Amino acid sequence: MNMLTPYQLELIHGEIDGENTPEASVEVRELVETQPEALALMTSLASLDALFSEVPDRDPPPRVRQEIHNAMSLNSRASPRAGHAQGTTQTITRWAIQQWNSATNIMGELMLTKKVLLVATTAVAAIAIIGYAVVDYKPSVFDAGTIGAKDGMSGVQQAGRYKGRPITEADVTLSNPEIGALFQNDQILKLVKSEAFHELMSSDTFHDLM
Amino acid sequence: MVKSPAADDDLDRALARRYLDGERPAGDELVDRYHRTVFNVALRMLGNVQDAEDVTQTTFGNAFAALDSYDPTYRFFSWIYRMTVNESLNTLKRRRNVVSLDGSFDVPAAGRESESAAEAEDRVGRALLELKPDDRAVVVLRHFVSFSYEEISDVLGVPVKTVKSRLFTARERLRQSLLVARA
Repeated sequence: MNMLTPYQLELIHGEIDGENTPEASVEVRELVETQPEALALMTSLASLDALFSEVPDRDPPPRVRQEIHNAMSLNSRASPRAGHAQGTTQTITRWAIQQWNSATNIMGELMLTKKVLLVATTAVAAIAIIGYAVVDYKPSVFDAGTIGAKDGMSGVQQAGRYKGRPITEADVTLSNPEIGALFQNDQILKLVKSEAFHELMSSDTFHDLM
Repeated sequence: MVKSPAADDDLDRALARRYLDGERPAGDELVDRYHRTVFNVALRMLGNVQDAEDVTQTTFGNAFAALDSYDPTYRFFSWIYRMTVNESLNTLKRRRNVVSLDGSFDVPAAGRESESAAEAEDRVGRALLELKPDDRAVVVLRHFVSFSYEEISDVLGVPVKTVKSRLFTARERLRQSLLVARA
């Protein structure tokens, strides 16, 4: 079979399909007489064609025609006599389901294409940027420094340890002048630094008194 | 083999015009002229009677809903058969999304045919379902509706060269599955 050229194959198929000119048909006859491969192909294609001819055609069930007529009656483009429509609830439902299936199928195909996904992603990004510019969005107290925190939901709390109150002069100034004078007394300082004072402070007796 | 109604483009155009002008019986006549062929094309494309019924109804529903967009410079039968093939292909895609096609061919014998006819229908039906849908459409239009290459090209909206290529490829597969395998 592989010995036949594409042109010869086209001639043979064309002969089976009745597409050849009289001149081409003569060419096919000569080809079949001289090349066994051509005869074999011609024979098998003719058998195939005969097999298809054996397949009976089918009559659609009568309800199909009736359903079509009912649908036509429901169509607003139908004649003024469409008011005599004999459409049934079943017909309407079936028709609606078919239309819905067609629509969802088309939408499904569209959404699955890479091109649409790319465009959709770009559009979402553009909307987000424009939205940010318009509303001057700032992160809320629930978002900043937290993970998963939203209104009514607990998340990792915002870190607050770096926000301590600054130390002022008042914090390092003794408000009681007597205590200030006491801390500045040499005798007191010598006493505090003395061995005896340390022994006293670390003794069990002192702790018991305290 | 289903024969397409006698090509009468002027009649089809006149019926479409009269329907659009509000004459309901003209629409009925269009349905009567084409619904049998539309059903059989869908049946051979899908291998399932129920699906073929649905496609037939949907095709005519869509056709009448869009009839005012029909360009009468084109042949009506090309328009309606293109809708039929497209709706059949959509059904195949939906079916593929729901459950994988296992090559089942669900066309119960009508009881009036000979056993050889029923067997031929079953064998051919199964072999058709093994073809790619685009190739199957060409085979169906050529062998079941007896369309020429040019008419198939019009219906499918592809060049004649593509029609030939798909037909020859499909036939080679059919020869293998229907003739060589049985020899």
